[in-house]
Amino acid sequence: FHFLSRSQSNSLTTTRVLYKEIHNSTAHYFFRRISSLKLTKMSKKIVLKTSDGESFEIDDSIALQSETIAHLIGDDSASTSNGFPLANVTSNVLSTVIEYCKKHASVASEEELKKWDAEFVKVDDSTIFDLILAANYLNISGLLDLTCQTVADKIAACKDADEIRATFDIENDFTPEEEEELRRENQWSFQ
Amino acid sequence: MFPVRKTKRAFVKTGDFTPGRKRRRCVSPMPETKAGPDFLDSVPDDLVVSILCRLGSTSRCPADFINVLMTCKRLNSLATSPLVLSRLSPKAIAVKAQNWSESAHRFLKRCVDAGSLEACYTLGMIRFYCLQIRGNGASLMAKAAISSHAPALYSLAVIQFNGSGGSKNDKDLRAGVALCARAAFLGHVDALRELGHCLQDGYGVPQNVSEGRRFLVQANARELAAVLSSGIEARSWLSLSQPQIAVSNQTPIHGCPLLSDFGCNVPAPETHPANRFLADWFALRGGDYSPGDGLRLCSHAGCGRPETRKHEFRRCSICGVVNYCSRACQALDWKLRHKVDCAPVEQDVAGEGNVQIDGIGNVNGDNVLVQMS
Repeated sequence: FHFLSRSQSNSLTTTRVLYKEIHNSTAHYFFRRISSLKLTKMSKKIVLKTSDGESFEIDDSIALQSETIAHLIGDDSASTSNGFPLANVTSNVLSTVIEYCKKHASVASEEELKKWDAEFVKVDDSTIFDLILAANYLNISGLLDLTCQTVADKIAACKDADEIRATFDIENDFTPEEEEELRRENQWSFQ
Repeated sequence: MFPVRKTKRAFVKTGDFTPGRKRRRCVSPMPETKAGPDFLDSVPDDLVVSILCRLGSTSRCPADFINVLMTCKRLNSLATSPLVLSRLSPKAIAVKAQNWSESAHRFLKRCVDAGSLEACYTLGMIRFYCLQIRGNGASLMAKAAISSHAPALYSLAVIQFNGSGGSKNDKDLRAGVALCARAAFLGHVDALRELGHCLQDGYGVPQNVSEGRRFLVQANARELAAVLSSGIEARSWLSLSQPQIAVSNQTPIHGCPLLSDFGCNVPAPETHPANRFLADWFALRGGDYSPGDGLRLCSHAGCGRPETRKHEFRRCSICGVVNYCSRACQALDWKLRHKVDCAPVEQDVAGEGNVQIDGIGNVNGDNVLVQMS
């Protein structure tokens, strides 16, 4: 490197050139390292095993959206050849989750993602709740927010408590007196 | 799939419960033959709380949220946890004045205890103006204001400017300006307008006309931006037109305009549920607050604030018919409605001690707001 000889100089311009040269050389050095890293990273696949024994192989860029999996990879506790066991997730739920992660890993505008999300949650109730539990277990914040908001919207769309109970199959465990008390207490909110 | 869940609910299937359960008004495309899945049972409490938080913060009316309280005991207890109550949107606690009752009061108090700023503000307004519990109402609003709730800060500013709840000598203009400034920096449109006018008039703050104008322009810009961002339907209201000249006003008006719009027909901003409550309350209980009592309401329909003592509010200098709690209300009402109604009337100068002002724009008297085009 030339900079050893120039270090004696006091001129401002040469020191600036000096810093630039160091920066460039180190930048080039790191760039080579990073690009080599990237190449090895891109071909890395993660295998996930569901509770019913199926295996899914996905890019790690997609898998890393799940913080649980990210921690597992970090710990390196499970050997990558066997796959990471996911005890609480079944195969059909996992395939839906992977579909979500794939879409959100890809480059798309925010509006496009929003539209896609709206279509994505048009599924029956049991799937939505399975997705909530899976997103919670796998710690995927985007999917969790989306599914929770969907359920909240469904609740808000119901006209009264009976409809909510019917939609979500909730058992009414109030006695008639308690129900009457509640009705009186909340009379102010009925239009 | 979830063996634990099945054993838990097994005893339910044999029983016969409320008719509501038989009436399967199911909206989901579920096959009828499937044994009741009981979805929410499988979801742990913290996730249910998260769902309920979202429900509360996106509710458009109280019923959307309250319905959940009546479904079952578990949801009732989870929905009334402080975490959920503190995040209720203003619309979720928008009690209607005709439905006001002790139970509504209790619910708002619960939300206040849970730490909801909106509830603090709403209950503060109701207690201060409607129930006339001045001290407690003001302290509730102060609680919200301390946590930077812009409408609460603005309401307290109006109270300070007018000396509401006390005598004429309780006016604290500088405190009012300070509160107004804080609300304005949070982006509250009315506070921005009020601050702009205070600066232009040197009211509670050293006069600085250009700075005042800057704030007025900013208020207009924010109002316009809010309308534009609220959707396409709102845009159809927007029509750029020439600034209208008050036809009924014969005297030439000089000086800065009130600057309530850019000549655009921006639709009226959505009123806060608290203000709507006040307006409805006094409309309903007209008997208690009839003009015979001498107490008037702010003539801006979206405001709803009443006077707390005689001649507290200031009136339009041209017609003397309408009166306002603040310059911001005057500016908004002028744009929305008063522009066409205002007509100069022969003023009896000795009438109520209000000084008649010429149209130029200097506030000499105490109780008159100069009306400018």
